Amino acid sequence: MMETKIEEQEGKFLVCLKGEMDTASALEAEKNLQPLYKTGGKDVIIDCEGLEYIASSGLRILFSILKGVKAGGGRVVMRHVNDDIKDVFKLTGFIDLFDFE
Amino acid sequence: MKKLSDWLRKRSVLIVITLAALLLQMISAIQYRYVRGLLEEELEKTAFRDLMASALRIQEVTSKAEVGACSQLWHIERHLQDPDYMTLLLKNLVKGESDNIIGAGIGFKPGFYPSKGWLYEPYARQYGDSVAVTQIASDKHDYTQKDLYQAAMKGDTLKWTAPYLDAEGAKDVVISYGLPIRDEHGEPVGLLSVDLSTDWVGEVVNMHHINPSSFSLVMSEDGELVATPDDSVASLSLVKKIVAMVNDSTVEREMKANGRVTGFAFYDEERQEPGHVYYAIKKNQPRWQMVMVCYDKEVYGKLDDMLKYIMWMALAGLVVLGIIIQLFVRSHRRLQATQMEQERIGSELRIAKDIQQQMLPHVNECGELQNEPMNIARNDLRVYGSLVPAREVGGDLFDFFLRDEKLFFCIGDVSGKGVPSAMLMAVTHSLFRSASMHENNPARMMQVINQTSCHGNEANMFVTLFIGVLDLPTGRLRYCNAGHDMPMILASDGTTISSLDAKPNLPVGVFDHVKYEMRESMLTPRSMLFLYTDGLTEARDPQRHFFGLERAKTVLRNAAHDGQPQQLLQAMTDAVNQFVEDAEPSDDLTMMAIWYAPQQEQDVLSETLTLKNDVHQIETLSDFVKDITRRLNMEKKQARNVQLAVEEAVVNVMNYAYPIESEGTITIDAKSDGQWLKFIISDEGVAFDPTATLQVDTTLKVEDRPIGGLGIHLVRKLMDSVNYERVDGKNVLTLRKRIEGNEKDLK
Repeated sequence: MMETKIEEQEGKFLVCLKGEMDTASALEAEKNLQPLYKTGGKDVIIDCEGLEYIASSGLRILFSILKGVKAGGGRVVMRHVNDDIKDVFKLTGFIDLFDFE
Repeated sequence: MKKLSDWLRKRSVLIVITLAALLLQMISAIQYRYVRGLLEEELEKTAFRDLMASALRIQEVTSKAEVGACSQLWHIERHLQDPDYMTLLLKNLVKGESDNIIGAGIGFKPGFYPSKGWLYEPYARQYGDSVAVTQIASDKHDYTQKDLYQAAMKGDTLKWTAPYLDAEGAKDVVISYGLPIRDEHGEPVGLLSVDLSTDWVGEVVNMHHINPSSFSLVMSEDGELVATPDDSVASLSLVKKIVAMVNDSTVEREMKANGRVTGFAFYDEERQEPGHVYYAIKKNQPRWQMVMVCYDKEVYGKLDDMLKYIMWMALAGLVVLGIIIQLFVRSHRRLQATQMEQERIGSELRIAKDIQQQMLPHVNECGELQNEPMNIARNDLRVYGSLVPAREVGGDLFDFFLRDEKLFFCIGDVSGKGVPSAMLMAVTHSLFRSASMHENNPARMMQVINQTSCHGNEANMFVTLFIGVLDLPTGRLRYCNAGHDMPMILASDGTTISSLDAKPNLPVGVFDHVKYEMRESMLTPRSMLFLYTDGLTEARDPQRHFFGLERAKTVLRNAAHDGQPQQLLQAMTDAVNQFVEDAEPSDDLTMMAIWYAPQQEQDVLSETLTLKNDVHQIETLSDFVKDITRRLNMEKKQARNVQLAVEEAVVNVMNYAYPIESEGTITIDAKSDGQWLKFIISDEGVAFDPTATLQVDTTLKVEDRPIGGLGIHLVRKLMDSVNYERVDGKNVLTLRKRIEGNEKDLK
């Protein structure tokens, strides 16, 4: 199971993801993250400090957020991504799509 | 400069012929001059000889007259006292041997015979056979005034006179010869003169001509005309002109004196042609000038004609030669062009051959198989193929590659030979590659290849093609045959040879709506699948016998038992070469052999999990996978990768195998032999091959990337192999991961 938390700070969205984001968790998480699909040009910072696992459905959600933010002129920044998760980003080519901090 | 050299090269034949013509003309001109010089010399000699011959004849006559006169003189001087005897002697002289003496007379010193009067000149004249003697001296005819007489009285040795008209005595134009008559004291007392008519001189000179138009004439030493040719030969005006020219020709006086012939050229206005005059002076008395006229045309005419003939013939010859050279040059150029064209085609064919060979899977210098997408070293499979084209390029093809845990292979033969077949071969090869990219069903591949091949196949060429897909974990061989020779299978016992059972569908490229049928067969372990084209069975020896299927089977039995496809194909090739000897290869020889020997696995772990098609069951799956990876002591990262791959594969099945809202089960078998971890995911849903979907392009930009396809992409990336099979109404997806020595580095 996983936790999702969204805060709005200084005109930016801060998202914290924790736990394992498998296919079932992703379904739950998507409901929470829905508002980020349309941010109206605001940047989104996704903090993955507690994220241990991500399946392709999780990636799909992140990708949907990215598409929406980019279309609005904002950017998506990934923070504190661990190496295992980064490997998955590499395998899928997502590493080049997102900005990492 | 380049233009000039081009022009010269193009006109080279013309130039050579023109130069040859000029050279020939020069040679013939020199020859002409030389021959003409020779002829001139010869003519001069002939003229001289002729002139001298005429002179000799004249000399003969005058000498006779001289001798006759001298002999009578002796008698006359002894009988001077008897005047009547004188007349008798004169008669004798005229009657005598020389017919040309027409008269003779004696002019006595005035008053020598008192009885005969002061002037006395008896003269004997011939009239036919009779001779009449008359006294011709008179007041009118005073012989004492004549030069001849006066000279005789001085005792001079007399010459022949120039021709003159003797009105008194001979009454004709004569030439006279005189001798002084002496008394016993040696004093001259009279003149004995002999007259010769000039007619005979004319006869003599007209007797002989070198050429029909040439003529001769005789002139006295003083340049007066003695004898003329007939009017028919030369007009008097011409004769006079020549006489004048000879008299004017003072240049060579000295030569005349030397008795040599002299000549000069002249132009006859009447005849309008050039000629030559030759003349020579007679050595003895009378010292007449013998003249001969001849015309150049008659002398050199034949030479000129000959020259003309030679010129025309040479020109004709040169023209013919020119034409021949031109033709030769043209054909030579054509030949050169053809040769260059052939060389070009030859080199293109060599390149085409290389390209064709590169297309086929082949072993490179390092012994590694090229053109193989997956480079997994497998110990359960050995494949080898060979293609020997009859010509530079062939119409045969073979191909094989591994995708997932399947061997895709094909062998084919394009109708016809050479370049057209090679082109179709290349097309078919590409079609096979593209058709097999996302398709595991050989019949459907054949369908696609056939439809594309039929489209625009104006040449009506076709391909016999065999496509096989061997599932390596199970040994299930699915295949489709489009009119090709059926492959043979040598069973593991090394002797039993069976043929695959297949419906012989129509070849590819004949009709576009052919329904191709797929067949299945299980390949038993340690069996050899041997594929070939008719170039093997229909190879002919010099006696036109076929190599045949039986010989091929014998080689197969003898050479295949080691399970070495390369050695088998080498043995087969050697057998064919030995059989064919030096006969021309009739067709491309293409073969492929597949050795299949799956390993028996000893499972150290075997677990099964059955799930419903509900994503909320994923946590159960995760626990199941985690448990297994822990039991196998897999390191954390690999375990996580396996977990992700299995989750993605199962979610994929959940999403696609069963219709939405319908219930179904998914079975996951986990097996391991200690080295490999294998997950077999099976369901009873609709046939769905996740491996046949398009690969995700990870290089696309955000805007261009589709959202789907990530799951199976991750499965492929995370596992060592993914394999799909539809078995007994079930979708079976097999994932494999090597546990130790993980070679796949994650990027």
